[in-house]
Amino acid sequence: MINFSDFNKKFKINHIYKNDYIKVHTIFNQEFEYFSKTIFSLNKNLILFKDDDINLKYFLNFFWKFLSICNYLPISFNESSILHEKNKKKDLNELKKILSDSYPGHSNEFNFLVDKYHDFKISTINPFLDGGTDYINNKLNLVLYDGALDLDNKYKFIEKTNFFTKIYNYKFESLSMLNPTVELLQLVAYLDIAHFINVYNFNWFNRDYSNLSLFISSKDTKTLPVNIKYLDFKKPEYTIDNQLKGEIFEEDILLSNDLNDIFLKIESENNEDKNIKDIDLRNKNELEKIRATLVQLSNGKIAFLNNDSMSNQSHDVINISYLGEILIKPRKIDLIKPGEFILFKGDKATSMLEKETLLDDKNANIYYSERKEWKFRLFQELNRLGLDKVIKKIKEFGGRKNISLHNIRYWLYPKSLKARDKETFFSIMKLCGLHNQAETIWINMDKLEKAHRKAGRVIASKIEEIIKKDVKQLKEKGFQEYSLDDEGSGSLEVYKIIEKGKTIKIKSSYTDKPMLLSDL
Amino acid sequence: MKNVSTFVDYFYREIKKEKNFLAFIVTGNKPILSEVLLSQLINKQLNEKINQVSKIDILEQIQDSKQKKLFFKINKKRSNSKFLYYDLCIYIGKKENGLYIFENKSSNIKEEISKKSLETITYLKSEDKLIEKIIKENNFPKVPNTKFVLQIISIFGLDWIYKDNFFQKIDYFSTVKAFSDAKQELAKKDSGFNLLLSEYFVSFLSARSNDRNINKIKNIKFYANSESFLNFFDENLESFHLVKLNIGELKFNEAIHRFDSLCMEKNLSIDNNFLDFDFAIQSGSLIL
Repeated sequence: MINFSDFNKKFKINHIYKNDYIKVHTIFNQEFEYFSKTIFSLNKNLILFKDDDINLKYFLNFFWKFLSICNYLPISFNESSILHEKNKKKDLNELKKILSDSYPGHSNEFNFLVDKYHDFKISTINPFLDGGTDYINNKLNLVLYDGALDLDNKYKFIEKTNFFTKIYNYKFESLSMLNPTVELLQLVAYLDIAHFINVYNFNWFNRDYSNLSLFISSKDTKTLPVNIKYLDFKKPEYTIDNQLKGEIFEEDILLSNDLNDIFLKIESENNEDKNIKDIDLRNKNELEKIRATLVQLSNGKIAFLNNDSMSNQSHDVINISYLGEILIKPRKIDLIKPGEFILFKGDKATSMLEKETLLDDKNANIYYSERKEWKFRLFQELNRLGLDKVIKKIKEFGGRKNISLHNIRYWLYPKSLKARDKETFFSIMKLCGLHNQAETIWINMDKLEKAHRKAGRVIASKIEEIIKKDVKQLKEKGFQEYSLDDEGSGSLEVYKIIEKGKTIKIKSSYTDKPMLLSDL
Repeated sequence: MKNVSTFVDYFYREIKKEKNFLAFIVTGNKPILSEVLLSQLINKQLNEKINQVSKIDILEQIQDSKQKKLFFKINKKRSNSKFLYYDLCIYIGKKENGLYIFENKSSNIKEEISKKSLETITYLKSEDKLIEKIIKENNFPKVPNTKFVLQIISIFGLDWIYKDNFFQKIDYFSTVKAFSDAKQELAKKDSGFNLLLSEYFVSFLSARSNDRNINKIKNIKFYANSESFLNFFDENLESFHLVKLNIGELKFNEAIHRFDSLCMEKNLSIDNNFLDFDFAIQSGSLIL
């Protein structure tokens, strides 16, 4: 008779319930992410025309297939394009022209895709290897890919995912899977054919593997879930250069000031302030000052960009993406480069955020008056008690132990809303004689904070819309003033950075606005 | 943790209680596991039968004239390494010189066979009707030429080929490709699997077949994948059911959903022997 004892061991699947059985690695690749997302969005926007337009269909399918190779095969972009182009029939540049005529609103996308594809064609980068682990052509590891195409013989220990119809007589040390679907990972995980499974996912693939355990709802039948560890990968700084940069003309240089002279002048003023003998007056002066970076703007103006550690040390810069999309993005001041255009909210624009907030929350006026009230009272207490005693009192009333000059400066800053922690904020309120209303003010400041964030997004999109209309003129002229609405409450000024100077302490009222040297 | 063989033992133990039940396994999509289980189910039945009968003594059968019987002799010319062909023979009598005389109906000749050569002969003991039918049709049995087949013949004669009631066939539902791939793979390990998984013991129906004439006999019905379960399982059918769902296969989610509802309605068997098998993610049984 047949001996079945060999089979009894063969099908064991109880070794999968251990720590770190599945490890998920996240891979970042900014260029490919943009490229993929552009294909997705173009496909989404033009899907209605796809069936009737052969050229569009070919164009979109061409890129879609290229994506599916790059997303699932562990090879370089260059090798992916070679595999992909075996069936290429049409000239992409020709198609791009035809499609740009047919869908002029998307010509930027067509251009971007074709140009980028040409870059990828010569790129030897293998996005999966950028995950940092040498797991390809490693005899202890089997790579599984979910694709229809066959790979070159030089790749070893790689199988298509239909491998499970084959019978392996040994267990792998590890398995590597590339952007697997939940179903596929589930299937492979429960096969128990490797000691560990490594999953390599592109960060823009939002796969949720938390539901891999299987269960039947009957009371007594349970399944142990398999253990999945998401490795913590820090997203790298995406460093694409801002495409919107103006040329620095001779005229700009002629109108410019000597930034070093300005720096020396302010430095000497600061030194004079340090010599003030009245400590309270000296502290008060010091409170008004923040660190700011001096910049030369177009049209002969200068500005001090708030670069103090109490702030987020960034300023709004006008960016243009590969696809010609205008975006207002805050950028670290130290990273802003000459030629870039930065945005200033005009004199009347301070009310812009408040106006937008009021549209969303009708009680915002009450909150604003509360904010004004507690800051005014704090300022009065400072005048009355002096800085040291104010800090001492706040600590006594239950505030946090490490309060410094910077914190007091931040709380006095008209745009700030509250302290970071509730205890400190309550002790400030107690100092200001607002103890009874502390809870209400805390809640209202919180509401304002959320409303500001929302209003900020609305304003940014309005600004983007309006700047989009005449970017060309902005580049030629070097600066521009915009108005967001007819009432003139939302005026904006955009200037080109000509030169960057040093960072120095200066009165906060001088910061974040364009001015002439004579205004100092 | 219990293994495949133990599962099969439990399955037969449950059958003896004669209540309709369903044993289920949710497992990884392991190739050939279904067919190994199927083979074990068949093997187990055969083993039980073997224990009930003793080895055939052909001489005894020739001399016993109480019951009608047909004899079959290996046709050496036609047989090869893959198949054995048998000729139909009728025993006439014994010569004084010790030779046994048979009428070879297939070749239409008389043969005189020595006592030593009787080992190439087997027999079928049956009622008149079947014997008449076989003689009339003059059907040559053809069987795989393997050690295992010869072993079976030495014990059961050719009953397993001709008699419907010899063995309760297992109704097996799976995909054609998976079944044929598994048969090939298993035959590489032991040629005996060719017989175990042949139509003598297995009644196969493709998971995607439109055939709805399911065998109503109280057989073992083995649904080897989700599609089979969805297409063919009928809880009202008087049978012993074995359902195997494989994670990740086509229609797995639908099958789990349906199975889930079934578990809710029927409840799991309390004294469940079908839990904790090392080849299963989940297992258990329901009384239908």
